[in-house]
Amino acid sequence: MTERQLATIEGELKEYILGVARDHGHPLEDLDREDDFIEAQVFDSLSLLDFIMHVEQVVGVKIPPEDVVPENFGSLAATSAYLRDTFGLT
Amino acid sequence: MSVTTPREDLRRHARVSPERIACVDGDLRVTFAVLADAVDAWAAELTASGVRPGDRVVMLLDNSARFLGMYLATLSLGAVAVPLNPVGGTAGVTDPIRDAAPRLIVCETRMAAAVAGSFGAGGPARELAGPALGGSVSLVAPKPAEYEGLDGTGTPLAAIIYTSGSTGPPKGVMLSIANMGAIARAGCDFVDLTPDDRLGVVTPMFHLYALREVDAALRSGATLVLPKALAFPASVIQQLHRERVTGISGVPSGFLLITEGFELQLGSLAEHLRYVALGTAVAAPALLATLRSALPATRVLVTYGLTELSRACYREVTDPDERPGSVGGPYPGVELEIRGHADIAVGPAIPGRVILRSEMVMQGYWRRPDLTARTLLPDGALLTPDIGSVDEQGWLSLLGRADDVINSGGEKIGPDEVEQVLREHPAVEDAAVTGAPDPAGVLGEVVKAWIVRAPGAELDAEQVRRHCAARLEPAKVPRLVEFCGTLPKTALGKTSRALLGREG
Repeated sequence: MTERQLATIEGELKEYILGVARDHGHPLEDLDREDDFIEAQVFDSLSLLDFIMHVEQVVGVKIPPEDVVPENFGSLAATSAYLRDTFGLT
Repeated sequence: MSVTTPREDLRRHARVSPERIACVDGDLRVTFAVLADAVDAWAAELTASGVRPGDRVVMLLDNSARFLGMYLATLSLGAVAVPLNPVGGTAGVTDPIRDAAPRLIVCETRMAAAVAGSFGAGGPARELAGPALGGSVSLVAPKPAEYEGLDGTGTPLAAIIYTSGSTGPPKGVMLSIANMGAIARAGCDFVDLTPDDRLGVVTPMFHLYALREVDAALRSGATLVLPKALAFPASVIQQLHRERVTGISGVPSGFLLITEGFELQLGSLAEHLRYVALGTAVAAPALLATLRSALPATRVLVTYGLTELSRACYREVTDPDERPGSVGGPYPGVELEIRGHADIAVGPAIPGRVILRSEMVMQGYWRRPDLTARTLLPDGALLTPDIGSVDEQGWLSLLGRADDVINSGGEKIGPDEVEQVLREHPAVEDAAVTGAPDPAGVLGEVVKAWIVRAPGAELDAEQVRRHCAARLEPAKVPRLVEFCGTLPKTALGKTSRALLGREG
């Protein structure tokens, strides 16, 4: 993993989530790092699983199911923090 | 046995055991006394907003104590609750809201501006004063609709629940106060609910499948546990574990997601969990076997019902399972009949249409007398769209449907509605919609669109999905899109969905 990867990944994940919201028919104008995915109604259980698989692909890791909780994936900031703390991304 | 209304039940619990917990909403714990006070205050607000007996009140609310309080406030006025999907914007609920002609729309405050813009009479949404019950709710006075002459059946209604049929827009199933009372009683009796029970609600409460849990919990004095963040299975299980839930009713696709990734966590519920019930779609034998082994001391039940008759049949899954394909025998008071050709009742093992009689059978479809007449037989029996057969013991096995409705993870989707939206796209010359097996193996069926592009037009699958997503609820958006040169037609020139093949 290179030094600049986490910021790049977060930007890419943001685009992905804006795409999901658009596909779900309630486009978001923007998504802040701290915006709560649950509050913004971005995911249902299937699109959340798609998102987790997408993260696994982009980062090249396997995320244990028990880690898929709002504390780790409830916002872009939480996702980045989780990837940093768990997989050492910087 | 007497039928009490949910409001009477609530008053009784608030008097006898005011400090007991009626509802756990995330971190919020609401006692019966607090809930009863909130319901009184909100009922007064609804009255001040012009709500009278028989008026429809549309509810666009998340699973929450707010939903519970608003539902009960509506019923306490003799008004009719019309719960609709609060997720996915206003486009997907436009048809039902127009059809219901509500006096008032109650919504999550996050969507108040959009709701007022789409349906309001011109004034802004008004945030509801009084007890918040953990979140903010707003009221929108809709454009005046044709209110008069829409009193329905003359029987006092409790709720209108919208569901998809194979043709036309979603239809409103009218449920009377007596219907809801009978459904609640059946829901209490089949698992012997007591005030010590804690029911985990893991499906959306705007569906009758979850709404009926509210009435059953109130009737028995049980606690409703409403987990937050339903999309996160691990988090939902944590909340259910923390609250020591004793019963869960869910859909097979939801349980499948849990057993595939979270079987160990599921086992953590075993100590307190008395039963799990699976309904709205057929549960695969492998899933039932997994649940049996993960929860050895928990009753596993399979239920069968429709919005039009919520509790028709059920059975207990035994180990080893003798009749894996069966949905069991009728609930007490439900009469089951199979009719073959020429409308003649047939005996065991012969397939035919499933006919049901019960005091739980709906009053009819809101503003659809023709459809009601085709669905409710002269003696009040319900002609279901399901094909099935009974065995010697009178247990029902479901073999398919007599219509084209798609069952995607328990969500019933009418292909006509999706086709109409597809044909509105300028690049679409012709379109058809069928069910196809879910490639991910979770939902059973998913919506598949078959599209003939207009000559010279360009259109890809993603554009198709976006077009639909802006106009339909999320579950109705085609997950699969196939482009083809022509669509197969019947001799009368109608598109043949059967020739397109439900095998997709």
